[in-house]
Amino acid sequence: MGTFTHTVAVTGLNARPDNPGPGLAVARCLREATDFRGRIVGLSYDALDPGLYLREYCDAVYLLPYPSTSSLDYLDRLRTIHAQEKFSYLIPCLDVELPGFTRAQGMLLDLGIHTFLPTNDQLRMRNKDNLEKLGSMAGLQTPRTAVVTRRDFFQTCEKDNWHYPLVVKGIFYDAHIVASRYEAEEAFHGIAAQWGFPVIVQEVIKGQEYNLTAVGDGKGQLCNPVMMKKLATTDKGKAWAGVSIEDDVLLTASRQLALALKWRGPLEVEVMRDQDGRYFLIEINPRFPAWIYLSVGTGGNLPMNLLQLMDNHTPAPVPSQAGQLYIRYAAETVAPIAHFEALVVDGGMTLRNFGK
Amino acid sequence: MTDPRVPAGPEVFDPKLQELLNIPQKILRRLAVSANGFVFDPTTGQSFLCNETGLDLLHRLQDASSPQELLQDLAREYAVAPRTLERDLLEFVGLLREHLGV
Repeated sequence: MGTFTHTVAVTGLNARPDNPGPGLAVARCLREATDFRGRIVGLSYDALDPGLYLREYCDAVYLLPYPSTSSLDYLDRLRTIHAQEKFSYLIPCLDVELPGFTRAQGMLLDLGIHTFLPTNDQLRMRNKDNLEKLGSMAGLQTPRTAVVTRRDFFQTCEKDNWHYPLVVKGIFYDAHIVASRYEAEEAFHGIAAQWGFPVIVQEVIKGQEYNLTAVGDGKGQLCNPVMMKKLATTDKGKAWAGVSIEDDVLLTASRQLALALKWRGPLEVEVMRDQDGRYFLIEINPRFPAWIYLSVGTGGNLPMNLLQLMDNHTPAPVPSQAGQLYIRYAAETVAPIAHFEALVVDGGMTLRNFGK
Repeated sequence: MTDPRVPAGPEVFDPKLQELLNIPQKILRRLAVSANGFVFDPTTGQSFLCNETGLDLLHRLQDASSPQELLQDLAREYAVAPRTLERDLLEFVGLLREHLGV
């Protein structure tokens, strides 16, 4: 694959400091690739998503209706943006978008939009309520997990040997560590209202968190895995600082998962290592993580590898360099109010032509 | 620097200490150790600082063919009573094992 000169659409530009979406980091990886000379179209859901205002990464930005709206409206909006920007590649970056994009792959291809996504079966298999099976595929233990649809669970759970603190998680996003029945019920209601049912309850594993990201080639192999240990987290448990590592147990488990699932597309594998050195699979995310820029810092570029796979090229193996530290930071950007106006009134704009 | 008052030989040391010193070479050799005492474990992501003596001990652990050989070397090199050497080593190896998660 030579110099890349096409237009790529990237979603998930909600780069909020305490819980950023991965889209902006993906755009940054592409922009910094030496062989990328294409355009980047940023797609997001809220006019105040910071990535919509960063012209150094996006050439054009547009708002989409939330994925929970009708899929026809969503795809119509995508068609309209495509008619204007003619993007040929699409990288969805949010869990909640994936079922819809996976179903629409044929329609997208008819429009000339290439994707590289997991199948519906693969998405179902990695669901948080399927963790035990995934753990067995990976050869790892899993924390005790319950799929909960009623608040009553918390009234009786202690009798069934569920001891606080517990983790209460949404099926797509969000996780709260709760120390009492009162906190558990509050988290249950909040998560169910935002992300729907079921809600996942897990025992807390005390230890260090290690994550891996890579791209599955759809045939059972992982391309250019990058691993990191979280050194600091936000209040929501999101990585704020980390360091790249080479962990054979995590790598072998992830390779086994990719092989068993024949995973297609980006993924993130999250594990905890307890004080006795035992590894527990926590979850698998079907997309790049917000810390994906570390793949550039360790010598590779996984978003570029994804584009290569979309073009039926096998990415060259790049060894990931351990000992690269990353620290996330918060900064402000300044834009004229007309920029915000263009987003809320017109639904988007070309940034390169937009005056400061 | 050799203190003739210090009897050399492993027999003066607690066998438990010898066992503790037996950290797998695979783990010790993978460590990235800087001259200023900064140590990074590329597998676990842990990092920690050693002082000059700790750095010397770590290098000796990495190079030693056996805990016995290490103990004999240290007894010859450091002019301290066996009990003091034993206590300091126990403390150092305990901390090292904690940092390495072994």
